Amino acid sequence: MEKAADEKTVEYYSSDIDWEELRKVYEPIINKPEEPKTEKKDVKFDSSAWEEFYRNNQDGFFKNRNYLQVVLEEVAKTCANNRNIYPLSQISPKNLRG
Amino acid sequence: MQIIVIYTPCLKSHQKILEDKVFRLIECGCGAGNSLYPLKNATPSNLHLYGFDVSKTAVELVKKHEEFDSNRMNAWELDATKTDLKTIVETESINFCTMIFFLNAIPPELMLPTLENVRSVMQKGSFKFSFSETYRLSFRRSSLFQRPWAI
Repeated sequence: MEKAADEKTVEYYSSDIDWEELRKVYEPIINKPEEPKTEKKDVKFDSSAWEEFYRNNQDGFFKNRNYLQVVLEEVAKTCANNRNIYPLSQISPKNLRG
Repeated sequence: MQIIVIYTPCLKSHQKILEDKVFRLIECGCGAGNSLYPLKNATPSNLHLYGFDVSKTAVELVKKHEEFDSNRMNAWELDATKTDLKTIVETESINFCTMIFFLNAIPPELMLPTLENVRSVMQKGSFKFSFSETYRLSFRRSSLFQRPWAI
């Protein structure tokens, strides 16, 4: 048992390491100047895909968003129940510039 | 889906409040008018509705729609990621802005400049109606931004 334990145990001391050799290997890596950050890609929005989309589908792909009317009414009700919000136009009508 | 609704005074029920004033709403990425026309039917006549889209065909569809009212509506072909919105409407002339399936069609890098572009035509100090929907999926893979059918 003792023998097996001895075989597994490995101890290193400072004098075991060739620091000079390590320095030669790692110093250039550590001192390597930072690479200049690559410039951001010039991102562009390709509108041709949408043009092709509408040319192919015309107005038949998306349905009318009639739910907007319901949403607007729901929000209006919520606003009406909340004195802090409703009616903003009455609280500060000067903000409603035509 | 994320929905942000800040304020909505542009209902027919609020017509009295809005009486005798002209208000302007711009629909960003109006497409064939699938939001513009329901909005037109839900709002009083003194709310003018504008829209823009990158697709020329889509804009033509808006203008050819049987409910198109040239006194109250207009639409332009415009890429908001490249072109200044002030070329189509006056600075700080818009009261409300809707963005429905708009931001999620724009690459993330261009979202802020685009929003800034839209902001430049919004009235300062006026009420803003903002409505946006974005799919988280769209943020994961930038390749989807070039594919309308993925949205």
